[in-house]
Amino acid sequence: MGFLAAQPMAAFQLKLGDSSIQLNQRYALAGIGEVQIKTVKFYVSVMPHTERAMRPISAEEYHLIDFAHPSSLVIPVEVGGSNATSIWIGVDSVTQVSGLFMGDLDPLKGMYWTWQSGYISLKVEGELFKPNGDATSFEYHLGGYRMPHSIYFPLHTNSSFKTFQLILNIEPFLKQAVTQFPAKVVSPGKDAYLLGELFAQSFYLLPHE
Amino acid sequence: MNRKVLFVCLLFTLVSLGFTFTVGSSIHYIWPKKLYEVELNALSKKKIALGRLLFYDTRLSANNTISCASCHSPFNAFAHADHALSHGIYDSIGKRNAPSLMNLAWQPNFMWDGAIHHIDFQALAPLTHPGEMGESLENVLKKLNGIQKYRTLFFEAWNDSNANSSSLLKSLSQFMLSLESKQSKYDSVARKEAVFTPQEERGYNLFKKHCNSCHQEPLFTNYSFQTNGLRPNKNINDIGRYTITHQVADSFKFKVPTLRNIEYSFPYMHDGRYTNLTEVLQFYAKHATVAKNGAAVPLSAEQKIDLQVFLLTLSDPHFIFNPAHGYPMELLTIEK
Repeated sequence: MGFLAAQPMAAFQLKLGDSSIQLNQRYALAGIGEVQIKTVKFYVSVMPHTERAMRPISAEEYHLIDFAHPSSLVIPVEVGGSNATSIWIGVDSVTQVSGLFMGDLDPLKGMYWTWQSGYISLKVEGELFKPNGDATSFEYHLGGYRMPHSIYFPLHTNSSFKTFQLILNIEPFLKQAVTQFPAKVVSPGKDAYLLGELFAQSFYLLPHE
Repeated sequence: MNRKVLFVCLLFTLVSLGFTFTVGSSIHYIWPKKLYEVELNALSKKKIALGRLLFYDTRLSANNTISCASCHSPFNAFAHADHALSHGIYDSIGKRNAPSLMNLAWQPNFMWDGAIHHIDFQALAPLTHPGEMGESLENVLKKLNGIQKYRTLFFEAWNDSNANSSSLLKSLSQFMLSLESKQSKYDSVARKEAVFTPQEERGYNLFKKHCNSCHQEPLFTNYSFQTNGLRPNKNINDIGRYTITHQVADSFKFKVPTLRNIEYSFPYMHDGRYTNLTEVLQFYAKHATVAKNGAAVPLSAEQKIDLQVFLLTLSDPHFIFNPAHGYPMELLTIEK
């Protein structure tokens, strides 16, 4: 008989360039100034790769990754019959219009717009300190499920049974966000979509030791 | 001779009856399927009763002064009669008039701009809006969970004395879903239980000719978003559906409201600018852009009256004066 493999896990880590960082601490943002990140939280859905196009995503397959809550940073992954799992960032349009859910999709988590229906796929908040002493707060609440500006992007497809790390290097996202976008992007639209796409492209994989 | 007179009278009577019966038989009275998935939140008396308490409870607002019913009054078909623009806590004035609430299970989206696509989330908008009830979901739940009576009611309804997002919002949904209006004179005529008067019938014919492309029977709305030629209020600058879709074609479009119980749901339009139906029909006759050629709807004075008389057949006193919809006296016994 075979043996039961340990449940593979995905562990998320936050970096600025090559350095791991903590929330609410100041770090240099090269060429721009210093940044203090207050919030980074986002939804991911994890399901067997071959099933993603075949069925709705269940509420239990959504996870809210919140760097303010370390317990949320390690999540189980399901490989399914295809031996591959896919992780997407954001909340898909079917879930968006399917009514009220609990668990990580509970509106109490602060990731649901109240002024219009829809989940906020990701939040990045903080403050930028320029060399001249100016301080600006930035607030990116990126969501929306209507095409063409749906904040729902593939993050990773993994075909390994082993636990792995997904590193979010937030430096390129922040550099573009604070220089090329308004300080507040808090509703669906083109800016939110472009920033969401940048954010999704900021992840890379590390095999876990 | 008598036979001839009798025959003519009989013929006249039959023609008259046939004329009126024709109206009843021509009503296409088929209700579409409800859009709300009731199987996911099966209606129960206890849940509806709990939702009704919550609907009328001012505790759901930040300063404990405003409830859902403050803007959605049962005697106004759950619309807001006091003001053109509805207001919330600390007398903050909003941008729109609260729409009437009825037959919500058939509605594909909510609010004048369709911002909310599921009734289970609807209450979140006014609950948390700083100009309406100004509260947070967390704080509302904290308040409710601190009151023994509510803990008992939540347990009886949901088998969990601890209120959470789901049990709170779904209770409110259940009460709102229970607000069904189908007992107007129009409904009776459609079911062949009554007949229109000749004037009502004339009004109905005018309605079918000029109004029912958007105000489709039997819900008296097709829930589409339209402009009808209303000039925007420069002080408010409400761009309607565009706020949600960011499509230029949706600028200044608002949801077609139901005409059911329109007698009770004044004032009219998304910003409550018309206080009575005469003003509304005056607008449609002179300034609206709803006809196929983009023009107004030409109506004589008599026709306007006939149309109003028909619209009054959409009044449903069973709905308006149903004690099950009104203020729950039990709320007075819940501790402060």
